[in-house]
Amino acid sequence: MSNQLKLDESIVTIESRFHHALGLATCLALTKEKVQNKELLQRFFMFESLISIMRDMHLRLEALSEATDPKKTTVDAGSCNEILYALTILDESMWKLVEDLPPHPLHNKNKYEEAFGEGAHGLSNMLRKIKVDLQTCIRNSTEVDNAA
Amino acid sequence: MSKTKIVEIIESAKARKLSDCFFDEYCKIEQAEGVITCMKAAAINQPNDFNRLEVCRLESFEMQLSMLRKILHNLMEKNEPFKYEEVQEALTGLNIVDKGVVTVLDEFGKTEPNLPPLVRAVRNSYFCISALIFDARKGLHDFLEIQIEDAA
Repeated sequence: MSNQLKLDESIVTIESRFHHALGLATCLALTKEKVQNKELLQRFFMFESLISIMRDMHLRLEALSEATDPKKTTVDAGSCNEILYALTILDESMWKLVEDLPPHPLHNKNKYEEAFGEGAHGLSNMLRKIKVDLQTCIRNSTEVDNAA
Repeated sequence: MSKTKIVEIIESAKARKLSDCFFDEYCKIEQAEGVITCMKAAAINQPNDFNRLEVCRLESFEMQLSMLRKILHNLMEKNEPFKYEEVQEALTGLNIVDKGVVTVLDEFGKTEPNLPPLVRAVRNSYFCISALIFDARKGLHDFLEIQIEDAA
């Protein structure tokens, strides 16, 4: 039988913050209509695919956060590590998308193009913090012996 | 020690390159401003979901953050001993914006749960703004605390 973990309540905050980050990503994606720079527009395809990954991840984090409910006290350790891995990949992908935005010679950036760049950096920072918090949460979780 | 005395000591201290001191805080404010601009774009795109008041509120936050960013930018460019009051001014400004954002978030807490997805996205983004402002405030606050401790 797979290992079961009892997560502490920080998972609820993590899920909530990820939900906020998803909201931010949704708003950022809407600037696409105002963007004229072709190079930046190309990045939106990647950005939109990252958002759909985030939506899926949010559902999985919601399921984890429900584990703090007294009726459903434990979660599968493998599932936790899968989400952490997915979050790590998401964090890396988001960083790749934004890391060269400001110094990159995207000439004639309009206000919204700049706003997207700044907002995406903020989003990337948030995802990094969430990833670190999830790592800590899993590390601090208690293994539950099902055989007992 | 009086505040005037502290200011005197600080001002006579070694010249500091403020760009090193406030870079992180500047970035946070810049990011918050960018997020607000995107939220505004989202709100303008969906006039049926957002009323004019919501857009005006976002414009107001955008202007306040832009002003604060410029204050910090001027400090960073100075490359000379900073004035305690100038940093304090930026912190006070951030506190005011933070209060405004918290008020908006409190207001959201009292509204109905079944919201259009985009309205929910914009509301969730306010939490992100709040987190960014918190980081910037903490940075400026800690900076001033350290200066006062050093002076004392």
